[in-house]
Amino acid sequence: MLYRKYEVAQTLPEALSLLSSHNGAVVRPVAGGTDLILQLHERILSADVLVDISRVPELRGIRLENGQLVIGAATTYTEISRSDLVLKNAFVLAEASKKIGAVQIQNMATLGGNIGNASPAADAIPGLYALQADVVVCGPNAERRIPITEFHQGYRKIDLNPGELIKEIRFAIPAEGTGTAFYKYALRKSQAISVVDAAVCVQLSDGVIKHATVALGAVAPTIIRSPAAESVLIGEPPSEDLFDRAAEAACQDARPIDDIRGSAAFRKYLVGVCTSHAVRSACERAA
Amino acid sequence: MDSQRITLTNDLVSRKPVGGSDLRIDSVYKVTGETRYVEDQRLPEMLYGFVLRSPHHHARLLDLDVSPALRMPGVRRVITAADIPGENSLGDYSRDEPLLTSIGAALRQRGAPVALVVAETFEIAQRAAGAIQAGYEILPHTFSAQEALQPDATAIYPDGNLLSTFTLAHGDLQAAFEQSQVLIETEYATGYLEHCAMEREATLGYPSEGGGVTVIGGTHEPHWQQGYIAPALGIDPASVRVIVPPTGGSFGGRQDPWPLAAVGLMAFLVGKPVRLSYSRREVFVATTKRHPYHVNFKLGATRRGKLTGIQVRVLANTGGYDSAGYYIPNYAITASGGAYAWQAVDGLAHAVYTNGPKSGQFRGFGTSQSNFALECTLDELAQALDMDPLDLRAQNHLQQGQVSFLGYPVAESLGYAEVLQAIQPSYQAFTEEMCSFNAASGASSMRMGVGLAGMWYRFGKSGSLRIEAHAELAEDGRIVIYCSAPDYGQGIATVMVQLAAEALGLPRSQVVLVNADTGLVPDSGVQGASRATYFTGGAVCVAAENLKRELFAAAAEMLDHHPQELLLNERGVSVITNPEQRVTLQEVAAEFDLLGKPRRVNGFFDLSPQFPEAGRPEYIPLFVTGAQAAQVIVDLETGIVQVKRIAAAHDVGRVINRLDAVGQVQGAIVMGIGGALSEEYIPGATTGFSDYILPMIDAIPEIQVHFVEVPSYHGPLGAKGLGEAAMLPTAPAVINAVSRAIGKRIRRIPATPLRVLQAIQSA
Repeated sequence: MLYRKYEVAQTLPEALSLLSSHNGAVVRPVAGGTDLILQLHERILSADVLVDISRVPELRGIRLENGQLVIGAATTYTEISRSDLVLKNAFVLAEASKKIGAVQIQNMATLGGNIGNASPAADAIPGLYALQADVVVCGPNAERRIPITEFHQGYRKIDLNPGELIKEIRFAIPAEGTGTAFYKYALRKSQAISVVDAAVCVQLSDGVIKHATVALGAVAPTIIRSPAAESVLIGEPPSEDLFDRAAEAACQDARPIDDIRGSAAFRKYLVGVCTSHAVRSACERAA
Repeated sequence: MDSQRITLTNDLVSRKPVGGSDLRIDSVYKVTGETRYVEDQRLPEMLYGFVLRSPHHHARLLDLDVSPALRMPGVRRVITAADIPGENSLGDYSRDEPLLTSIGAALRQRGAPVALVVAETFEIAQRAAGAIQAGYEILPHTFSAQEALQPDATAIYPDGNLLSTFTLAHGDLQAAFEQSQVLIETEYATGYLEHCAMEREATLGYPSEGGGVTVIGGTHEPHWQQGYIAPALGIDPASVRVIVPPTGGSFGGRQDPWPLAAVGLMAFLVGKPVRLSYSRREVFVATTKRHPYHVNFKLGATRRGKLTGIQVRVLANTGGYDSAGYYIPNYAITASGGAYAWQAVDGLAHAVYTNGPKSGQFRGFGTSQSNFALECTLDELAQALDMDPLDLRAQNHLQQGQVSFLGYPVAESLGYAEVLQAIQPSYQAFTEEMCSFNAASGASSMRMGVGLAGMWYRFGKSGSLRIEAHAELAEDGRIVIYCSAPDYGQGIATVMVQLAAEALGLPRSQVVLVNADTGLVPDSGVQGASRATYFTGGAVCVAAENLKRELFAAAAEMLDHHPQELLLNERGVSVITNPEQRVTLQEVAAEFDLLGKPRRVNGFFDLSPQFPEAGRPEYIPLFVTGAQAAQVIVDLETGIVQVKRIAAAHDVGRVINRLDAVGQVQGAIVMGIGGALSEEYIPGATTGFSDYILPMIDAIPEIQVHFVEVPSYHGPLGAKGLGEAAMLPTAPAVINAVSRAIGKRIRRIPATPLRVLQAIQSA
């Protein structure tokens, strides 16, 4: 058996209480289950009890709140990619959501699940790094708000205590003149894990890049930002030469490994490809 | 060229389908979910099997303690090699491959079977297998055929790592090369491929009365399975009944007898029904793969592009076990010369054991790899000659009656000249589009390429020249056909019904097929090498005609008319000049019974009189040919290749089922694209679909299919073979197109983005 008991939470307090009410048992939250069920099958993880949080209203939906975009942890990628709020304010997330797995996966998988699974090849996370998002987690007694760069502590390591749940993602709506983009390199067009990906936000002001964030996926134990690429971009007008220099700088920040999808050297090369494509698209969208 | 025998048809509805319809006899059941595959079948008291497999690539099995598994509730039996009542083997299918590995013996690949657990549920069986204590001595391993042939290589088998060798030589090669103004030498390599049949391996066994056993499972040759299963059980082959259920794909994968023999053993020893179902991970680790090849060519040509001599060397990696790899060198060489005229030939191939997964049957058995290397090498030669690749092939195509690459003429009609003619317009259109695309590409990193490749494929090899089928007039007036043409999704069962209906002149609805069950049907031989339409279909036609003759004889008496004056149709047998004077088939059946005349007759499709044993080569050289043109777009920056269009022209003789024939070609092309560009099985690393990159729907190009119907001399209604052959030209056509787009040669497949980038950056 994959698990002994399956419980469905209807509210957030109920979810939190179910998570901490089974003494000694391994209790795991499940929403889309697209990673968890596979990991249970492969015996990478075990579980005695699964708590279904996919219907908890407090964990669902996308809203604007005091200049911030708030995305509930149990929101699916299909919902994200079709959200007008996301399309208008954080296009990078919509773009990435459509590159995850296939349509069936996008219909089931959730943003919170992707954050909790903490794969360095997670397609939605680079966008959150580029948007400088925070993760809000809630426990039985309190909520905590943590920058996503700190929430992901290492390879598949997250800052989540027993009994806590990822509640939502929050980030400030990018300033006027910002363009965002995601570029994924995989061994096939759909249903493929990223070999390398990049997410970029740039803000243009008077034809010059005023602000830039560059995040890279699948090139380190966690998603990383590339400070080198960002500093190359800031203060410069967009040009093909600038994109090339940003790509070169990003390669220096990447620390990829060899695996079945690609060698470290191949990934270094692809960091350049992904970065220049993403920066170019972001600049075009900012203009 | 004899224009009388050329028919070019591309219109799917231009001609009445053979037997009245192209719709498959089982389509409705498949789309409504009524079809019951093995895993849909549950028998009373059925138990579940699970296989304990070696986690090591090469190890010696030191000891085995099964008691922890036996102590678990729900476990009925654990079977080890010591429990096998008969021979621990798969008969002559796979030399030296045990059914289960004995203590003290070597496990030669990861996934090699150690023990079988039978339990009340799948989960219990799986957990019990995990509880078995197995001791292993890990031995050095290699996945490389070249390494395995080195003098200091680890001996995977006591007699060394060479499994088999095949040579072919005729003509004076040295003289041929001396007359050549252009000589080129190439080296090509292909990797392991997994079949990826939709249905995973699943078999079901149950004890039958009188001490025998019945096994239900996908296979190409149910009667042969009796001979593979019975020796292990120590019983007579006739006591083993093998039934082929609806099967979700084979591509050769279902030819491995192991899953049938294992489930037969479990059911036999436990005395209850047992089902064995593989997980997809198990399919990837433990089932057969396509043989990886290293192919070296040396080809000569005159300055004007006339082919002279050909030297070919093939190293085939057969993995840890034989699994019919013994025959691979023969197929490797046969396919390596193409339908071209050569003055001199020198071929040598070896099959070599390694510790990779056992290579076995795979669509095109050993031929697609050689053909890939040949057709790419011909492109290199065309380039060296500054000739168009199509012109080079057209100029050298083998003529009917001419001595072939094998050293003697082929035995069937040969349509290669017609094939090349049929592919020409598509090839030209693709090329023109490529020129304008690339001229307009400017700073873009996208480049278009067009490639062409041909093939010849020896169909029908293996198995008897004399094939049997039966036809019966049932009491209710329907016609029942008995034959063994296992249908694993390719639609062959429908073809048998179409051929019978056509031979009888009856609608398909009046023909019933009893198929692929050793308890009910005669042995129609192995269904391999794309021979079923030709051989088994031929036998079905003969049986149907024999029955028709008997039927007319009886009706002639009943109607008091000469048989020549009678007509058979859905209403019965009637007098041509007076259709109202007739008898129904039900009445004819009753008349048979009255006269004590058997209603079931046999029919033999027999080529042995035409090809007497003395004086014919090892196998009669039946060949089909084809050619494909591919148009691709390569992103020079990312190395990603998109195949835009493929045109295929195949000489298949008379098309029996046009929808399925087109479907076979389309499927073959998609499979060929996967093998050319993305599908790569890495032993010890590849685990399933997340890292084995199958093409998705968005990788499938526009496909044009042209059939060149040069009628066969011997096949039913002029049919030849098709299923496997259609895949052969795809990979070389695609790779020739990629090489043209990037201006560098790709010599290893799959041409993953990384390999394409490396080729672009190479000197």
